[in-house]
Amino acid sequence: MNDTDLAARIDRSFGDGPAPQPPHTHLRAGRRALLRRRVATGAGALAVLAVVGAGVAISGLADDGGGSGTGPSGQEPGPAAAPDQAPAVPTVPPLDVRRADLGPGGLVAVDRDGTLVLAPGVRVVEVVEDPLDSAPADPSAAVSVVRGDQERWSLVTSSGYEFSQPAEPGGSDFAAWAEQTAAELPGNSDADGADPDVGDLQQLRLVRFGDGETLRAEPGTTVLAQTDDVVLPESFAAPDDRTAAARVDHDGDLLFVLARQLDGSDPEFIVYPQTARTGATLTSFLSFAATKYEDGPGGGSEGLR
Amino acid sequence: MRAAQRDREFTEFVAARQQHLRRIAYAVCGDWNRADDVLQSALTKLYVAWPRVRRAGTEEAYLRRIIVRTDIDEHRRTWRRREQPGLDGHDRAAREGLGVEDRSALFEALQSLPEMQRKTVLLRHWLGLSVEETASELGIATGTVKSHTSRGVAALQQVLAAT
Repeated sequence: MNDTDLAARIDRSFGDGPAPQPPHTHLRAGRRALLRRRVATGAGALAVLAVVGAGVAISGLADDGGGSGTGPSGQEPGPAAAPDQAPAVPTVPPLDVRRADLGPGGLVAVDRDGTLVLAPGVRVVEVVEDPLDSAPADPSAAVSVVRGDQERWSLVTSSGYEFSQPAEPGGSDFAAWAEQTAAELPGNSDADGADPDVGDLQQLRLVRFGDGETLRAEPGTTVLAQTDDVVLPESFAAPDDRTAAARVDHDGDLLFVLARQLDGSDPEFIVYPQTARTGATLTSFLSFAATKYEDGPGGGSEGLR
Repeated sequence: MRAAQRDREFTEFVAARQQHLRRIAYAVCGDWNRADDVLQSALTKLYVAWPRVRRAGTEEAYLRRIIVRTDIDEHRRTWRRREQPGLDGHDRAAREGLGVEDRSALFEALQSLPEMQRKTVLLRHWLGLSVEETASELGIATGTVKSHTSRGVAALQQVLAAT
């Protein structure tokens, strides 16, 4: 029996077994593992962050009244800044951080160079570095932060995208949230400027007009926010036309809908996915939509579809 | 590497090569559930290391090495502790191991070989790796590969001669 014979006989000696798991199962497991690794990296960096923050406070640059014996935000130091820990020379690359006024409600941002920007009084609980894997072009960060007695989870990019929500209760897994939120962003793939294919989305019936310029959810859809204040170029609708916009959840997908009824004709509902370019609010989406309906160099506008 | 690119490349690779790699894992451990377990673990490691491994073009070798270096005997013990099919008489395992009807006497003989003999025979005489490659995959000396392979093939030939 030669090698070829033996190889063939071994190959025939058993079948293919039950159906294998679909590839996306392995993909999810891989993403979780990658995220855990990043969280571990972030946690290591946080120890340094605490030292860096303390340094800021000592140098008088902290503008939140942080005093002696407190962390950078003026709050009690976290475990990483425990008094019995000497400010050793960092053995991991530091996670750069600076303080800045981020405007009303602004808690955290990330600079073009990946520096984490914290508003005064904000303390970092946990960081996932670059969950969108978009550095160096557009660094991102998922950050669990505390100000006062409130903890919020934010996903931010250097290009200005921000999604933020109160921390999920019951000791939920921040890293899992960061992974899920990052995965839900089609903008993870359109930051290069390409528009997503929205053709199939137009088949969805997500909302209908209610009274006036209100929108009502169709079954299977939840309206998360809506507005009748839709100010877009006239290539979308004239000022007197009936218009509205909504941000909706449809089977877990976050989508925007632009609604218009031109000159009493049938209503139209234009569906667009939430991406890094649309942002996660109606305001940011309408700003994005305005750019799509502006007249181009040739005098036309492509709009959102 | 962008996340979307990593995801796409990884998914394409898994879709294309999963079945082959799963058969390797099964041939090594003799149980489809354990094979899936081993492969899942290997694929998870591959995803984390994807940019580096992809650049080197060694995805399959990377996975194969993880699979064949898994300590099957230890893995079997761990797996038995974790998986308790039929718990309380109503909680059946999600999937049963494949029935023996899909396995020949040769396969049974392979499974009866000592672990390292089985691995060297599979790598050398099924997957076609050289002695040196097999030694590298398993992290053992070439002389050890030769002796294990020789004994393993001899045992298989006895089985084949009797069928």
